[in-house]
Amino acid sequence: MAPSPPQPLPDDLIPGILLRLPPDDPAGLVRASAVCKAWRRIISDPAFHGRYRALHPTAPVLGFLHRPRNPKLPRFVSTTSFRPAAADHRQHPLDCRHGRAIFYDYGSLGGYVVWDPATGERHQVRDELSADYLPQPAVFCAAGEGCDHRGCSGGPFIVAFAGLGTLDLGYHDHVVEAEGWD
Amino acid sequence: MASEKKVVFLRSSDGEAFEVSEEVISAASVTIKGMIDEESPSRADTAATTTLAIPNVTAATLSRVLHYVNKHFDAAAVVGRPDDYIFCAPGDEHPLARFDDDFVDVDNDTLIDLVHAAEYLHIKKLFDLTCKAVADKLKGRTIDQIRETFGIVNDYTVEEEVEVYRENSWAF
Repeated sequence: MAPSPPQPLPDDLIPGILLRLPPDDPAGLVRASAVCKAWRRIISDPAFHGRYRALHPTAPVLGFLHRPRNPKLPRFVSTTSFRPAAADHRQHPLDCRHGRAIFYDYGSLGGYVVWDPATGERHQVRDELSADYLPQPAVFCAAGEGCDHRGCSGGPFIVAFAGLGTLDLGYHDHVVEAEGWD
Repeated sequence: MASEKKVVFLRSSDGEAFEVSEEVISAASVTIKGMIDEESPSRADTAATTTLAIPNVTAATLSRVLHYVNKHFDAAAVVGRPDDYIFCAPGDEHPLARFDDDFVDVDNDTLIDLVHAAEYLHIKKLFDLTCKAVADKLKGRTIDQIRETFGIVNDYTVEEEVEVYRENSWAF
């Protein structure tokens, strides 16, 4: 007996259903966007992102960064279905905050690189510091106090360096960048 | 005086009437509470029971919805109120978790009818539950299986589809 054709999903119910795809399986949302154009439009809509964050207030941990002894091992270890675009192996992770990470790149780019795992965007940070101290960088979202850091991917960020000089043992800090990626 | 519990009748789109406690259905459904509030002044002093027409919901679906409503919103029938997680020992499931799982373990068409009814009647918990159950059906299926299951036509051109896959190759 041939099964009867399925009842099509009514258009007005689709956003409500897609909103309930679980946040700990980011591939699910991406795959749903490949089903048809209407689903892609819904999922790409900034208003959908806001509703999705409101419904799932706890951001999932997508993975963690580490510094393996074996240089061939990836720096980013996924704990969900999320796989970031091109994390370069020739990079040394130094700090990670507000959805961004900063590396020291000893490969082709050279110097400090801020990386957004969600978009794969990389941004070189000018290294204008004197070489006589070893600074520790920190990366922050620059969107201001009200930001919950769940929708600021691609937005402005700040990189701050702090370190002890080898000669004067003084405290240095230096804000290098505060700019958008667009 | 009126110590007896008030009831209302809900008439489905196909004409079947269902009795339900006014208090319970008012707590569950924003839509029906609104209908009852509108009716109230005219029936304050009459003994006549109210019958409300629910034109968008069939008897089969309405009976399922009322089964859910009576389980979740009739405080007298529930051991511990469903939202009072404080009554659960750590590690205990929500007292109605198994009921909910069984409730949405139905075929797609029945489930979608329930989503529709929950939306129309504005029963938020039921809408959440049924939408999530549909979303769960998307998990672990290929794109083609999702289209087949939910009767969706692929309107991407081959080139567009290749582009979507290329942009997000990690997810496929």
